[in-house]
Amino acid sequence: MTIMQSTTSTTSAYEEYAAAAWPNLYRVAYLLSGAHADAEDLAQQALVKVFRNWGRVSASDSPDAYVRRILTNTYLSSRRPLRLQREVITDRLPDTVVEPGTAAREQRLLLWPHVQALPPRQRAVVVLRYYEDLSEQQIADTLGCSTGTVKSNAHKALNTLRASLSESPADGKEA
Amino acid sequence: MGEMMQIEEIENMLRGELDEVAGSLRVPAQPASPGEAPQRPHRWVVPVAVAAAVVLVLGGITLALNHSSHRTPQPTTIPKSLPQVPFVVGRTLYVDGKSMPGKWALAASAHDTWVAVRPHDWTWGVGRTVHRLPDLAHDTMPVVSSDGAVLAYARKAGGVRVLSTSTGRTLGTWHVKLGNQESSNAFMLSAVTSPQVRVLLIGGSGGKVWSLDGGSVHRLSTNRMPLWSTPAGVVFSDNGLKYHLGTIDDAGHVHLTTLVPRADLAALSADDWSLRGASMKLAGPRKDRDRVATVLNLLKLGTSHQVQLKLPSGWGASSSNWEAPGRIIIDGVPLGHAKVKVSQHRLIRCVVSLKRCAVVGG
Repeated sequence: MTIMQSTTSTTSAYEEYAAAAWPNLYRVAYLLSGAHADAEDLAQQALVKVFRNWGRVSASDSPDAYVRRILTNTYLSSRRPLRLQREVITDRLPDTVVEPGTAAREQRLLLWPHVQALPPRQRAVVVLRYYEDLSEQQIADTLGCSTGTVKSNAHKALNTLRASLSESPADGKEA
Repeated sequence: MGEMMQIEEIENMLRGELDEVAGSLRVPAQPASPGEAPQRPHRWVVPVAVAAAVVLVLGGITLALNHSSHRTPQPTTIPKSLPQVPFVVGRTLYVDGKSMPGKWALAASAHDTWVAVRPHDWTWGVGRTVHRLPDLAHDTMPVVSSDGAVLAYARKAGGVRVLSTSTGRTLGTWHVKLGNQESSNAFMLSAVTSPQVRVLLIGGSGGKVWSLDGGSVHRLSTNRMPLWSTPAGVVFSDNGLKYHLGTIDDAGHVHLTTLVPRADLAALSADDWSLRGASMKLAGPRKDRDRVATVLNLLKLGTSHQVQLKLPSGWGASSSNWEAPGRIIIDGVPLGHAKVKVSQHRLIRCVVSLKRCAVVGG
Protein backbone atom coordinates (compact mmCIF):
# COMPACT_ATOMS: atom_id res chain seq x y z
CA MET A 1 0.00 0.00 0.00
CA THR A 2 1.18 3.48 -0.69
CA ILE A 3 0.44 6.20 1.78
CA MET A 4 0.70 9.51 0.08
CA GLN A 5 0.03 12.18 2.61
CA SER A 6 2.20 12.63 5.68
CA THR A 7 5.11 10.74 4.28
CA THR A 8 8.25 12.74 4.66
CA SER A 9 7.17 14.70 7.67
CA THR A 10 4.52 12.86 9.66
CA THR A 11 6.73 11.98 12.58
CA SER A 12 8.48 15.30 12.84
CA ALA A 13 5.23 17.23 12.55
CA TYR A 14 3.70 15.13 15.27
CA GLU A 15 6.75 15.49 17.51
CA GLU A 16 6.74 19.23 17.13
CA TYR A 17 3.06 19.42 17.93
CA ALA A 18 3.33 17.03 20.88
CA ALA A 19 6.24 18.93 22.40
CA ALA A 20 4.30 22.17 22.25
CA ALA A 21 1.05 20.63 23.47
CA TRP A 22 2.48 18.49 26.29
CA PRO A 23 2.59 21.07 29.13
CA ASN A 24 -1.05 22.13 28.78
CA LEU A 25 -2.14 18.59 28.09
CA TYR A 26 -0.49 17.52 31.34
CA ARG A 27 -2.04 20.39 33.28
CA VAL A 28 -5.54 19.66 32.03
CA ALA A 29 -5.00 15.96 32.66
CA TYR A 30 -3.99 16.76 36.23
CA LEU A 31 -7.07 18.89 36.79
CA LEU A 32 -9.19 16.02 35.49
CA SER A 33 -7.48 13.17 37.29
CA GLY A 34 -6.11 14.88 40.40
CA ALA A 35 -2.95 12.77 40.56
CA HIS A 36 0.41 13.29 38.92
CA ALA A 37 0.88 9.69 37.82
CA ASP A 38 -2.62 9.48 36.39
CA ALA A 39 -2.17 12.83 34.67
CA GLU A 40 1.02 11.63 33.01
CA ASP A 41 -0.66 8.41 31.91
CA LEU A 42 -3.73 10.24 30.67
CA ALA A 43 -1.79 12.84 28.72
CA GLN A 44 0.47 10.23 27.22
CA GLN A 45 -2.48 8.02 26.26
CA ALA A 46 -4.00 10.99 24.55
CA LEU A 47 -0.78 11.67 22.66
CA VAL A 48 -0.55 8.06 21.53
CA LYS A 49 -4.06 8.37 20.13
CA VAL A 50 -3.15 11.64 18.50
CA PHE A 51 -0.13 9.95 16.96
CA ARG A 52 -2.21 7.09 15.64
CA ASN A 53 -4.58 9.55 14.04
CA TRP A 54 -2.15 12.29 13.16
CA GLY A 55 -3.43 12.60 9.62
CA ARG A 56 -6.92 13.28 10.86
CA VAL A 57 -5.79 15.49 13.73
CA SER A 58 -3.53 17.66 11.62
CA ALA A 59 -6.18 17.97 8.94
CA SER A 60 -8.88 19.07 11.33
CA ASP A 61 -9.92 22.70 11.54
CA SER A 62 -8.68 22.88 15.10
CA PRO A 63 -6.10 20.27 16.10
CA ASP A 64 -6.17 21.57 19.68
CA ALA A 65 -9.92 20.98 19.93
CA TYR A 66 -9.46 17.50 18.48
CA VAL A 67 -6.74 16.69 21.00
CA ARG A 68 -8.80 18.12 23.85
CA ARG A 69 -11.64 15.84 22.81
CA ILE A 70 -9.33 12.84 22.80
CA LEU A 71 -7.95 13.71 26.23
CA THR A 72 -11.34 14.32 27.83
CA ASN A 73 -12.92 11.24 26.38
CA THR A 74 -9.96 9.12 27.41
CA TYR A 75 -10.47 10.42 30.93
CA LEU A 76 -14.21 9.77 30.87
CA SER A 77 -13.88 6.33 29.36
CA SER A 78 -11.56 5.13 32.11
CA ARG A 79 -13.96 3.45 34.51
CA ARG A 80 -11.24 2.46 36.92
CA PRO A 81 -8.41 4.67 38.05
CA LEU A 82 -5.87 4.89 35.28
CA ARG A 83 -3.13 3.88 37.64
CA LEU A 84 -4.78 0.56 38.29
CA GLN A 85 -5.31 -0.12 34.62
CA ARG A 86 -1.76 0.66 33.71
CA GLU A 87 0.24 -0.74 36.57
CA VAL A 88 2.96 -3.13 35.56
CA ILE A 89 6.01 -4.29 37.40
CA THR A 90 9.05 -2.25 36.53
CA ASP A 91 12.56 -1.83 37.81
CA ARG A 92 12.37 1.91 37.31
CA LEU A 93 11.89 4.36 40.08
CA PRO A 94 9.04 6.81 39.58
CA ASP A 95 10.29 9.69 37.50
CA THR A 96 7.53 12.13 38.28
CA VAL A 97 8.71 14.79 40.66
CA VAL A 98 6.20 16.65 42.75
CA GLU A 99 7.27 20.19 43.26
CA PRO A 100 7.90 20.83 46.94
CA GLY A 101 5.04 22.70 48.43
CA THR A 102 2.49 21.65 45.83
CA ALA A 103 0.52 19.49 48.22
CA ALA A 104 0.58 22.13 50.93
CA ARG A 105 -0.49 24.78 48.48
CA GLU A 106 -3.38 22.66 47.27
CA GLN A 107 -4.50 22.06 50.84
CA ARG A 108 -5.01 25.78 51.26
CA LEU A 109 -7.46 25.91 48.38
CA LEU A 110 -11.14 25.91 49.20
CA LEU A 111 -12.78 24.48 46.14
CA TRP A 112 -10.12 22.20 44.69
CA PRO A 113 -10.68 19.31 47.14
CA HIS A 114 -14.38 19.39 46.30
CA VAL A 115 -13.73 19.59 42.57
CA GLN A 116 -11.80 16.36 42.92
CA ALA A 117 -14.83 14.71 44.47
CA LEU A 118 -17.18 15.62 41.63
CA PRO A 119 -18.43 12.88 39.29
CA PRO A 120 -16.16 12.62 36.21
CA ARG A 121 -18.48 14.30 33.72
CA GLN A 122 -19.26 17.23 36.02
CA ARG A 123 -15.58 17.60 36.74
CA ALA A 124 -14.77 17.59 33.04
CA VAL A 125 -17.34 20.32 32.45
CA VAL A 126 -15.89 22.38 35.28
CA VAL A 127 -12.32 22.05 33.98
CA LEU A 128 -13.30 22.83 30.40
CA ARG A 129 -15.47 25.78 31.42
CA TYR A 130 -13.38 27.41 34.12
CA TYR A 131 -9.84 26.43 33.22
CA GLU A 132 -9.99 26.09 29.45
CA ASP A 133 -12.56 28.92 29.18
CA LEU A 134 -14.64 27.05 26.62
CA SER A 135 -18.17 28.01 25.71
CA GLU A 136 -21.05 25.66 26.38
CA GLN A 137 -21.15 24.78 22.71
CA GLN A 138 -17.42 24.03 22.63
CA ILE A 139 -17.76 21.86 25.72
CA ALA A 140 -20.69 20.04 24.13
CA ASP A 141 -18.57 19.42 21.03
CA THR A 142 -15.72 18.16 23.17
CA LEU A 143 -17.85 15.79 25.19
CA GLY A 144 -20.10 14.78 22.34
CA CYS A 145 -23.28 15.86 24.09
CA SER A 146 -25.88 18.60 23.89
CA THR A 147 -25.45 22.07 25.37
CA GLY A 148 -28.38 21.22 27.60
CA THR A 149 -26.38 18.36 29.12
CA VAL A 150 -23.43 20.72 29.61
CA LYS A 151 -25.65 23.24 31.37
CA SER A 152 -27.15 20.56 33.54
CA ASN A 153 -23.76 19.18 34.56
CA ALA A 154 -22.37 22.63 35.24
CA HIS A 155 -25.41 23.53 37.32
CA LYS A 156 -25.14 20.38 39.42
CA ALA A 157 -21.41 20.84 39.88
CA LEU A 158 -21.71 24.45 40.98
CA ASN A 159 -24.50 23.63 43.41
CA THR A 160 -22.50 20.75 44.84
CA LEU A 161 -19.47 22.98 45.28
CA ARG A 162 -21.53 25.72 46.86
CA ALA A 163 -23.10 23.24 49.27
CA SER A 164 -19.71 21.75 50.07
CA LEU A 165 -18.32 25.15 50.90
CA SER A 166 -21.19 25.99 53.19
CA GLU A 167 -20.47 22.77 55.10
CA SER A 168 -16.72 23.36 55.32
CA PRO A 169 -15.34 24.49 58.65
CA ALA A 170 -14.52 28.15 58.48
CA ASP A 171 -11.04 27.69 59.84
CA GLY A 172 -10.14 24.84 57.58
CA LYS A 173 -8.82 26.94 54.77
CA GLU A 174 -6.48 29.42 56.27
CA ALA A 175 -4.25 27.14 58.30
CA MET B 1 -18.39 29.64 54.95
CA GLY B 2 -21.68 29.25 56.70
CA GLU B 3 -23.52 31.50 54.24
CA MET B 4 -24.37 30.21 50.81
CA MET B 5 -22.16 31.91 48.22
CA GLN B 6 -23.47 33.28 44.97
CA ILE B 7 -22.85 31.15 41.90
CA GLU B 8 -20.80 33.98 40.37
CA GLU B 9 -18.49 33.94 43.37
CA ILE B 10 -18.08 30.18 43.04
CA GLU B 11 -17.27 30.60 39.37
CA ASN B 12 -14.64 33.23 40.08
CA MET B 13 -13.11 31.11 42.79
CA LEU B 14 -13.06 28.13 40.48
CA ARG B 15 -11.21 30.06 37.81
CA GLY B 16 -8.67 31.27 40.31
CA GLU B 17 -8.10 27.92 42.01
CA LEU B 18 -7.90 25.89 38.83
CA ASP B 19 -5.39 28.39 37.47
CA GLU B 20 -3.41 28.19 40.67
CA VAL B 21 -3.37 24.38 40.75
CA ALA B 22 -2.40 24.14 37.09
CA GLY B 23 0.10 26.95 37.33
CA SER B 24 1.88 25.44 40.30
CA LEU B 25 2.41 22.09 38.62
CA ARG B 26 5.89 21.08 37.70
CA VAL B 27 5.26 19.48 34.34
CA PRO B 28 7.32 16.32 33.91
CA ALA B 29 9.35 15.76 30.78
CA GLN B 30 7.29 14.41 27.95
CA PRO B 31 7.64 10.61 27.78
CA ALA B 32 9.35 9.13 24.74
CA SER B 33 7.57 10.20 21.62
CA PRO B 34 5.82 7.41 19.73
CA GLY B 35 8.10 8.33 16.87
CA GLU B 36 11.24 7.55 18.82
CA ALA B 37 12.62 4.16 19.61
CA PRO B 38 12.45 3.74 23.39
CA GLN B 39 15.85 3.55 25.02
CA ARG B 40 14.72 0.85 27.39
CA PRO B 41 11.49 -0.93 28.14
CA HIS B 42 9.12 0.99 30.34
CA ARG B 43 5.44 1.08 30.97
CA TRP B 44 4.69 2.80 27.69
CA VAL B 45 6.63 0.43 25.55
CA VAL B 46 3.65 -1.47 24.23
CA PRO B 47 1.35 1.37 23.17
CA VAL B 48 4.32 3.37 21.99
CA ALA B 49 5.60 0.51 19.90
CA VAL B 50 2.19 -0.05 18.41
CA ALA B 51 1.77 3.62 17.67
CA ALA B 52 5.24 3.81 16.20
CA ALA B 53 4.42 0.94 13.95
CA VAL B 54 1.24 2.62 12.87
CA VAL B 55 2.98 5.81 11.96
CA LEU B 56 5.43 3.81 9.97
CA VAL B 57 2.46 2.50 8.09
CA LEU B 58 1.25 6.06 7.72
CA GLY B 59 4.65 7.35 6.84
CA GLY B 60 5.90 4.61 4.67
CA ILE B 61 5.71 4.49 0.99
CA THR B 62 5.86 1.03 -0.43
CA LEU B 63 5.84 -0.50 -3.78
CA ALA B 64 3.29 1.41 -5.73
CA LEU B 65 3.77 -0.53 -8.85
CA ASN B 66 3.95 -4.22 -9.49
CA HIS B 67 7.41 -5.61 -9.15
CA SER B 68 7.15 -7.32 -12.49
CA SER B 69 5.80 -4.35 -14.36
CA HIS B 70 7.57 -3.36 -17.51
CA ARG B 71 10.09 -0.58 -17.34
CA THR B 72 8.83 2.85 -18.20
CA PRO B 73 10.97 4.67 -20.74
CA GLN B 74 12.79 7.45 -18.93
CA PRO B 75 12.00 10.95 -20.16
CA THR B 76 14.66 13.40 -21.24
CA THR B 77 12.72 16.26 -19.69
CA ILE B 78 10.53 16.42 -16.63
CA PRO B 79 6.90 15.71 -17.62
CA LYS B 80 4.41 18.43 -16.70
CA SER B 81 1.32 16.26 -16.61
CA LEU B 82 -0.91 15.94 -13.54
CA PRO B 83 -0.17 12.95 -11.28
CA GLN B 84 -0.67 9.66 -13.08
CA VAL B 85 -1.25 7.72 -9.87
CA PRO B 86 -3.66 8.69 -7.09
CA PHE B 87 -2.01 11.52 -5.17
CA VAL B 88 -2.88 14.50 -3.00
CA VAL B 89 -1.38 17.94 -3.54
CA GLY B 90 -2.48 20.39 -0.87
CA ARG B 91 -6.05 19.22 -0.40
CA THR B 92 -6.65 18.17 -4.00
CA LEU B 93 -6.88 14.50 -4.81
CA TYR B 94 -5.79 13.53 -8.30
CA VAL B 95 -7.02 10.29 -9.78
CA ASP B 96 -6.51 9.21 -13.38
CA GLY B 97 -4.70 12.45 -14.12
CA LYS B 98 -7.67 14.62 -13.05
CA SER B 99 -8.66 16.30 -9.83
CA MET B 100 -11.53 14.96 -7.77
CA PRO B 101 -14.13 17.35 -6.36
CA GLY B 102 -13.83 18.18 -2.68
CA LYS B 103 -11.00 18.61 -0.26
CA TRP B 104 -9.00 15.60 0.79
CA ALA B 105 -6.69 15.33 3.71
CA LEU B 106 -5.08 11.96 3.47
CA ALA B 107 -4.92 9.18 0.95
CA ALA B 108 -3.36 5.82 0.42
CA SER B 109 -3.02 4.02 -2.86
CA ALA B 110 -1.86 0.95 -4.66
CA HIS B 111 -2.20 0.98 -8.42
CA ASP B 112 -5.60 2.54 -9.18
CA THR B 113 -7.02 1.79 -5.76
CA TRP B 114 -6.97 4.58 -3.23
CA VAL B 115 -8.19 5.35 0.27
CA ALA B 116 -8.81 8.96 1.18
CA VAL B 117 -10.48 10.97 3.85
CA ARG B 118 -12.61 14.03 3.63
CA PRO B 119 -13.43 15.61 6.99
CA HIS B 120 -15.19 12.87 8.96
CA ASP B 121 -15.74 10.78 5.84
CA TRP B 122 -13.46 7.91 4.88
CA THR B 123 -13.71 6.75 1.32
CA TRP B 124 -12.04 4.40 -1.09
CA GLY B 125 -12.14 4.02 -4.81
CA VAL B 126 -10.80 2.39 -7.91
CA GLY B 127 -10.25 5.05 -10.49
CA ARG B 128 -12.75 7.86 -10.07
CA THR B 129 -15.52 5.82 -8.44
CA VAL B 130 -15.93 6.79 -4.81
CA HIS B 131 -17.17 4.40 -2.13
CA ARG B 132 -17.78 5.42 1.46
CA LEU B 133 -16.72 3.46 4.51
CA PRO B 134 -19.52 4.28 6.96
CA ASP B 135 -18.88 1.27 9.16
CA LEU B 136 -15.18 1.99 9.62
CA ALA B 137 -14.29 1.85 13.31
CA HIS B 138 -13.41 5.20 14.82
CA ASP B 139 -9.71 6.02 14.98
CA THR B 140 -8.63 3.20 12.69
CA MET B 141 -6.96 3.19 9.30
CA PRO B 142 -7.95 0.98 6.36
CA VAL B 143 -5.19 -0.91 4.57
CA VAL B 144 -4.84 -1.86 0.92
CA SER B 145 -2.89 -4.77 -0.52
CA SER B 146 0.11 -3.79 -2.59
CA ASP B 147 -1.61 -4.91 -5.79
CA GLY B 148 -4.65 -2.79 -4.95
CA ALA B 149 -6.98 -5.78 -5.19
CA VAL B 150 -7.97 -6.06 -1.55
CA LEU B 151 -9.02 -3.57 1.10
CA ALA B 152 -9.29 -4.39 4.80
CA TYR B 153 -10.61 -2.29 7.64
CA ALA B 154 -11.75 -2.54 11.24
CA ARG B 155 -15.52 -2.36 11.59
CA LYS B 156 -17.46 -0.37 14.14
CA ALA B 157 -19.32 -3.55 14.96
CA GLY B 158 -16.04 -5.35 15.59
CA GLY B 159 -13.78 -7.54 13.54
CA VAL B 160 -11.99 -6.90 10.28
CA ARG B 161 -13.81 -6.81 6.94
CA VAL B 162 -11.96 -7.72 3.77
CA LEU B 163 -13.29 -6.35 0.47
CA SER B 164 -12.51 -7.02 -3.14
CA THR B 165 -11.86 -3.63 -4.69
CA SER B 166 -12.85 -4.89 -8.13
CA THR B 167 -16.36 -5.93 -7.06
CA GLY B 168 -16.82 -4.05 -3.78
CA ARG B 169 -18.00 -7.31 -2.26
CA THR B 170 -17.00 -8.67 1.11
CA LEU B 171 -14.51 -11.49 0.76
CA GLY B 172 -14.64 -12.35 4.41
CA THR B 173 -14.82 -11.02 7.93
CA TRP B 174 -12.36 -11.88 10.63
CA HIS B 175 -14.21 -11.88 13.92
CA VAL B 176 -11.24 -10.81 15.95
CA LYS B 177 -11.20 -8.58 18.99
CA LEU B 178 -8.98 -5.65 18.25
CA GLY B 179 -9.22 -4.24 21.76
CA ASN B 180 -9.71 -0.67 22.78
CA GLN B 181 -6.90 1.79 22.55
CA GLU B 182 -6.52 2.03 26.30
CA SER B 183 -5.48 -1.57 26.43
CA SER B 184 -1.80 -2.34 26.25
CA ASN B 185 -2.77 -5.64 24.64
CA ALA B 186 -4.69 -4.00 21.81
CA PHE B 187 -4.22 -5.42 18.36
CA MET B 188 -4.39 -3.16 15.36
CA LEU B 189 -4.77 -3.79 11.68
CA SER B 190 -1.42 -3.39 9.94
CA ALA B 191 -1.58 -4.94 6.49
CA VAL B 192 -3.41 -7.14 4.05
CA THR B 193 -1.75 -9.23 1.37
CA SER B 194 -2.94 -10.43 -2.02
CA PRO B 195 -3.40 -12.65 -4.02
CA GLN B 196 -3.03 -14.97 -1.01
CA VAL B 197 -5.28 -12.91 1.21
CA ARG B 198 -3.85 -12.69 4.68
CA VAL B 199 -4.70 -10.04 7.24
CA LEU B 200 -1.97 -8.99 9.64
CA LEU B 201 -2.45 -7.47 13.06
CA ILE B 202 0.14 -5.87 15.27
CA GLY B 203 0.13 -5.44 18.99
CA GLY B 204 0.94 -7.20 22.21
CA SER B 205 4.23 -8.96 21.79
CA GLY B 206 4.11 -9.39 18.04
CA GLY B 207 1.41 -10.06 15.52
CA LYS B 208 -1.31 -12.35 14.29
CA VAL B 209 -2.16 -13.55 10.81
CA TRP B 210 -5.53 -14.62 9.50
CA SER B 211 -5.70 -16.55 6.27
CA LEU B 212 -8.85 -15.86 4.29
CA ASP B 213 -8.75 -19.17 2.41
CA GLY B 214 -8.16 -21.46 5.34
CA GLY B 215 -9.80 -19.30 7.97
CA SER B 216 -6.92 -20.09 10.28
CA VAL B 217 -5.47 -17.69 12.85
CA HIS B 218 -1.89 -17.94 14.01
CA ARG B 219 0.51 -15.87 16.01
CA LEU B 220 3.52 -14.79 14.03
CA SER B 221 6.68 -16.75 14.61
CA THR B 222 8.60 -13.55 15.28
CA ASN B 223 8.05 -10.67 17.65
CA ARG B 224 9.02 -8.27 14.91
CA MET B 225 6.12 -6.04 13.96
CA PRO B 226 4.62 -6.41 10.48
CA LEU B 227 4.13 -2.89 9.20
CA TRP B 228 2.82 -3.08 5.65
CA SER B 229 2.85 -5.33 2.65
CA THR B 230 4.70 -4.77 -0.61
CA PRO B 231 4.97 -6.92 -3.71
CA ALA B 232 8.43 -7.82 -2.49
CA GLY B 233 7.12 -8.96 0.86
CA VAL B 234 5.98 -7.64 4.19
CA VAL B 235 8.06 -4.98 5.93
CA PHE B 236 8.85 -5.95 9.52
CA SER B 237 10.16 -3.63 12.20
CA ASP B 238 12.73 -4.80 14.69
CA ASN B 239 11.78 -2.53 17.61
CA GLY B 240 11.99 0.41 15.28
CA LEU B 241 15.74 -0.10 14.93
CA LYS B 242 15.98 -2.31 11.85
CA TYR B 243 13.59 -3.13 9.06
CA HIS B 244 13.39 -6.29 7.03
CA LEU B 245 11.42 -7.54 4.10
CA GLY B 246 9.96 -10.95 4.75
CA THR B 247 7.38 -13.44 3.66
CA ILE B 248 4.74 -15.05 5.79
CA ASP B 249 2.77 -18.24 5.42
CA ASP B 250 -0.67 -19.28 6.61
CA ALA B 251 0.81 -20.84 9.72
CA GLY B 252 2.35 -17.54 10.75
CA HIS B 253 5.92 -18.52 9.95
CA VAL B 254 7.94 -15.47 9.02
CA HIS B 255 10.95 -15.75 6.75
CA LEU B 256 12.99 -12.59 6.72
CA THR B 257 14.84 -11.79 3.52
CA THR B 258 16.30 -8.35 2.84
CA LEU B 259 17.38 -5.74 5.34
CA VAL B 260 15.87 -2.43 4.25
CA PRO B 261 16.87 1.08 5.31
CA ARG B 262 15.22 2.79 8.23
CA ALA B 263 11.67 3.03 7.09
CA ASP B 264 10.09 5.99 8.76
CA LEU B 265 10.80 8.24 5.84
CA ALA B 266 11.69 5.58 3.37
CA ALA B 267 9.92 4.50 0.28
CA LEU B 268 10.53 1.58 -1.96
CA SER B 269 10.08 1.92 -5.68
CA ALA B 270 9.08 -0.83 -8.03
CA ASP B 271 12.71 -1.18 -8.98
CA ASP B 272 13.99 -1.36 -5.43
CA TRP B 273 15.00 2.20 -4.79
CA SER B 274 14.54 3.31 -1.23
CA LEU B 275 13.78 6.96 -0.72
CA ARG B 276 14.34 9.06 2.34
CA GLY B 277 13.82 12.71 3.07
CA ALA B 278 16.73 14.81 4.35
CA SER B 279 17.80 18.40 4.98
CA MET B 280 14.61 19.09 6.82
CA LYS B 281 13.38 22.66 7.03
CA LEU B 282 10.41 24.33 8.61
CA ALA B 283 7.42 25.15 6.46
CA GLY B 284 3.79 25.95 6.78
CA PRO B 285 1.68 28.35 8.81
CA ARG B 286 2.79 29.17 12.32
CA LYS B 287 0.25 26.99 14.08
CA ASP B 288 0.96 24.02 11.83
CA ARG B 289 4.67 24.54 11.36
CA ASP B 290 6.13 21.38 9.94
CA ARG B 291 9.56 20.03 9.10
CA VAL B 292 9.73 19.02 5.47
CA ALA B 293 12.44 17.46 3.36
CA THR B 294 14.31 19.57 0.86
CA VAL B 295 16.51 16.72 -0.33
CA LEU B 296 15.59 13.16 -1.23
CA ASN B 297 18.25 10.49 -0.77
CA LEU B 298 17.78 7.39 -2.86
CA LEU B 299 19.55 4.10 -2.32
CA LYS B 300 19.30 1.07 -4.56
CA LEU B 301 18.60 -1.84 -2.24
CA GLY B 302 21.38 -4.37 -1.98
CA THR B 303 23.86 -2.02 -3.63
CA SER B 304 25.83 1.08 -2.75
CA HIS B 305 24.27 3.01 -5.62
CA GLN B 306 22.96 6.30 -4.29
CA VAL B 307 21.34 9.32 -5.87
CA GLN B 308 20.58 12.63 -4.23
CA LEU B 309 17.73 14.75 -5.53
CA LYS B 310 17.45 18.36 -4.44
CA LEU B 311 14.04 19.95 -4.53
CA PRO B 312 13.72 23.26 -6.36
CA SER B 313 14.98 26.15 -4.27
CA GLY B 314 12.36 27.41 -1.83
CA TRP B 315 10.33 24.20 -1.80
CA GLY B 316 9.94 21.29 0.58
CA ALA B 317 8.27 17.91 0.27
CA SER B 318 5.31 17.38 2.55
CA SER B 319 4.68 13.98 0.96
CA SER B 320 5.86 11.97 -1.98
CA ASN B 321 5.12 8.90 -4.03
CA TRP B 322 6.58 6.89 -6.84
CA GLU B 323 4.61 7.64 -9.96
CA ALA B 324 6.50 5.20 -12.12
CA PRO B 325 9.91 3.55 -11.93
CA GLY B 326 12.44 6.37 -11.73
CA ARG B 327 9.78 9.06 -11.32
CA ILE B 328 8.71 10.68 -8.06
CA ILE B 329 5.85 13.07 -7.45
CA ILE B 330 5.85 15.41 -4.48
CA ASP B 331 3.30 17.52 -2.66
CA GLY B 332 5.47 20.63 -2.63
CA VAL B 333 5.12 23.25 0.10
CA PRO B 334 6.79 26.68 -0.13
CA LEU B 335 9.40 27.30 2.54
CA GLY B 336 9.67 30.34 4.74
CA HIS B 337 6.09 31.48 4.46
CA ALA B 338 4.47 31.89 7.85
CA LYS B 339 1.07 32.25 6.23
CA VAL B 340 1.29 29.56 3.59
CA LYS B 341 -2.04 28.05 2.59
CA VAL B 342 -2.73 24.64 1.14
CA SER B 343 -3.66 26.37 -2.10
CA GLN B 344 0.00 27.34 -2.41
CA HIS B 345 1.13 23.73 -2.51
CA ARG B 346 2.39 22.68 -5.91
CA LEU B 347 3.11 19.44 -7.67
CA ILE B 348 6.81 18.74 -7.95
CA ARG B 349 8.15 15.92 -10.10
CA CYS B 350 11.61 14.35 -9.95
CA VAL B 351 13.20 12.12 -12.57
CA VAL B 352 15.91 9.94 -11.12
CA SER B 353 17.79 9.46 -14.41
CA LEU B 354 17.97 13.24 -14.83
CA LYS B 355 18.86 13.72 -11.14
CA ARG B 356 16.54 16.68 -11.22
CA CYS B 357 13.22 17.91 -9.76
CA ALA B 358 10.97 20.71 -10.98
CA VAL B 359 7.76 22.42 -9.97
CA VAL B 360 5.32 21.29 -12.61
CA GLY B 361 1.93 22.30 -11.26
CA GLY B 362 0.16 25.62 -11.02
